[in-house]
Amino acid sequence: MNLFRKMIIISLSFFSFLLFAHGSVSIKALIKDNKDNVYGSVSYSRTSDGVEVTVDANPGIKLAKIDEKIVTIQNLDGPTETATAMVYEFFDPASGAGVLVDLATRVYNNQKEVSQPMVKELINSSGIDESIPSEFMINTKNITKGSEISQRLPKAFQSVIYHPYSVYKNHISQNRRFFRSLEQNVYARRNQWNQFQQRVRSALGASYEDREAAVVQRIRESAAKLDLYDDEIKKFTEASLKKIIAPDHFDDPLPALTFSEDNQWREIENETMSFLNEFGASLYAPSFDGKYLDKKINFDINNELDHEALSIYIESNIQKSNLFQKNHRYFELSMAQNLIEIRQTVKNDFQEDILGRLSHMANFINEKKITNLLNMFNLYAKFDDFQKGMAASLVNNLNPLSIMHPVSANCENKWCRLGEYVGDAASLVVGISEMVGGFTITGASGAATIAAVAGGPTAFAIPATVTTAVAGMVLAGHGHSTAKNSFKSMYAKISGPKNVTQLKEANKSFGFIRNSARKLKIKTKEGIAKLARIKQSKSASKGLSGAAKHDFYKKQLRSSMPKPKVQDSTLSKVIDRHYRPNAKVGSGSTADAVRSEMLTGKPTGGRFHSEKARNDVQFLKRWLNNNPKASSTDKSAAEQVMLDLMESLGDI
Amino acid sequence: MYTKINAMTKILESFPDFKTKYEEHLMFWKDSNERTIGHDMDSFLDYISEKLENKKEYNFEKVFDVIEQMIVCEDKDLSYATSMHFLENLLNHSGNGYFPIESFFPYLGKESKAFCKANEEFWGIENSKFYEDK
Repeated sequence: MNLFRKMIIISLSFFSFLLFAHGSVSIKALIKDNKDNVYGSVSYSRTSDGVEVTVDANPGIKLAKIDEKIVTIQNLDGPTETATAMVYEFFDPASGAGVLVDLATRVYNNQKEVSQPMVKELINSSGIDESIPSEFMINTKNITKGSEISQRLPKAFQSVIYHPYSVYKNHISQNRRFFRSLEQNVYARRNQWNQFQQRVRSALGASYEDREAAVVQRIRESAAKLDLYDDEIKKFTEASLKKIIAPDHFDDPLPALTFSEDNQWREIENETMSFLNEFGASLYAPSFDGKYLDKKINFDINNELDHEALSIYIESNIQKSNLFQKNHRYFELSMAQNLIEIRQTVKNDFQEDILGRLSHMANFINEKKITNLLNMFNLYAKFDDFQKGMAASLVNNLNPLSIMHPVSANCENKWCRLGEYVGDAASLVVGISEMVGGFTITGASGAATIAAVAGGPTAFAIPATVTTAVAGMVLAGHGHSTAKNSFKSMYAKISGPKNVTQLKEANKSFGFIRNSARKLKIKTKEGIAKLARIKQSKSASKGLSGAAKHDFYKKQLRSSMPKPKVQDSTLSKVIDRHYRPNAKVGSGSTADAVRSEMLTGKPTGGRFHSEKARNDVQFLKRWLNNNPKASSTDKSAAEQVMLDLMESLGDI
Repeated sequence: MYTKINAMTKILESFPDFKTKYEEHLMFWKDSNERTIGHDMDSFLDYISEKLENKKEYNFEKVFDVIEQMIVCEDKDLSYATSMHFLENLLNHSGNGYFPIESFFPYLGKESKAFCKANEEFWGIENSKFYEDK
């Protein structure tokens, strides 16, 4: 039975002539697809006992009854009756085409589709008892046609970065075979083993437990003497057990053999059950590696809102996978995904209303409902705290040296935090750095559009793309209608002695990097290479979109960043052992050492730094994992150092 | 003979006071299979750094004797971890002002010094004490 090969549901009109009322005689019809390929025939005849259905397949066509159940059906002429509903698959192995025929329901109710339960049944037969929510599989709340499932399910699995559907399908098929053989073999052998245990117990009498313990001990000792005890895996091999148990301790060697094989079967059984559990878990609580956040993004599809968020997340991914290049739409869809990742990460801290808004914004991006997106955003922008959070986020995203000198919104409420999150997500879409430099914002109609968006209800133009809308949102978030005023306002919202100091420090550091690069050009080869990279990066970034360019600049600056300052004393020592002060190779980081060694091909003191860099990445990941409540400055520093290491290794 | 399997056990035998710190390190990596001998050596380095930083009386001679043996041992993973995670990080900490090079220089063995010198040269450190040593 192969549901997922190319199938074409037989057309409804084809069966319309089959309708018959009580007392009709037999009717025979050909089974055809919509290209008029004939697969077989179906005959209906009414007898005094009810309806009889006979199905025949043409030579070479495989026929499989997929589903059968008792249903109550409504005849077109009024009365109801109980009948058997059957779903057949006709499949032509030569062409790969086929039809699904849902006989009873097609005849009596030409609107009804029952293909979806068939898929449930298919998966259920592998041992998962509960039904599988259709939305997960196909991302729609409507009743789904079998033809849609056959076409979309494999793609849906692929789109959400599961294994290809065929992997699961093969597992299901193998497991089904396994269960059959389990019944026939394992249980029989287990009985044999139980009988053997009974015999041993009977022979040993009441002291069985003690004797058993003694036997185990003796086995261990013997194994150790015979050098059969494997230091590495810390367990006996099956062969060792057979050798030791059977001849020495029991009269009958056969049961010992049974013991061993029984164990093997149990191992397979456990593995299978474990697979099925994981499979079930992956269906009911899907988990993805975050694309934006370096975390696992978990969904609980028993929760309706989570379920909705998952659908949006998958939809964005499907749309992304259909794009041929990373254009502005790609980054828009990324923002939708980012919003969902943020939602899933903060869902325990925020109330449903806020979480719902994040989902809605993501959905509006998916559906390109720009006006709705702006309306949603206008709701937020009315809150001063939201503006404050967003301002801090944008300033940090504008400022590449925020890694070392981040400003803080000092958020005290959820709106402020939400502003930070949305600002972070928006920065990825719009080329924020371009705006600072006074460049045109990526989008269709430039500055006029921004003014329109920021102008709110009196806007004189609606932006053409989500990207432009997001650019507008950024500015509208500060209540100003021109870019210049908006940025002035943005900095005003985060003013405060500490933030002013951070911004000044950042400005100084940026000068320091530029000056260092100039000096390095003269003093070391690495300096020349670095400067070449910077020049190259300026040229290379020319063709990139705003978002990509922003990302590109950050990457370049990260590779030049001096040692970041952190508050946590443990992290501080870790960062310190990662940097060599007064070094002439880059900023003295391990990542710089890796880059330099890759450039020259020469190790340091006979050793390359790459292994150390990998260890440091693991350590920083672990530290971030163990310290979720660390300050945002520290976490940002750890993340940036880690990313720099990963970039140097070519891992990202 | 030191190997990456027995290195930490032997270090703990030689420096039993390191046990508490090492247990904290193991807790940090609890339920993870990503811990390597490099991370273990980081932990030992942190412990010795604290002793040097606080100018505590300690048997540094023994510490750097063990380090020398590990540097020259046949186990390449252990030798790598000792050089890159202990000695290089020791130099980094010293460079960051935790303690002067002089505080551990006299205890370094021949191979350890050779590695430190090569390491200082790689980073382009000027006027390093290791260049003076003939």
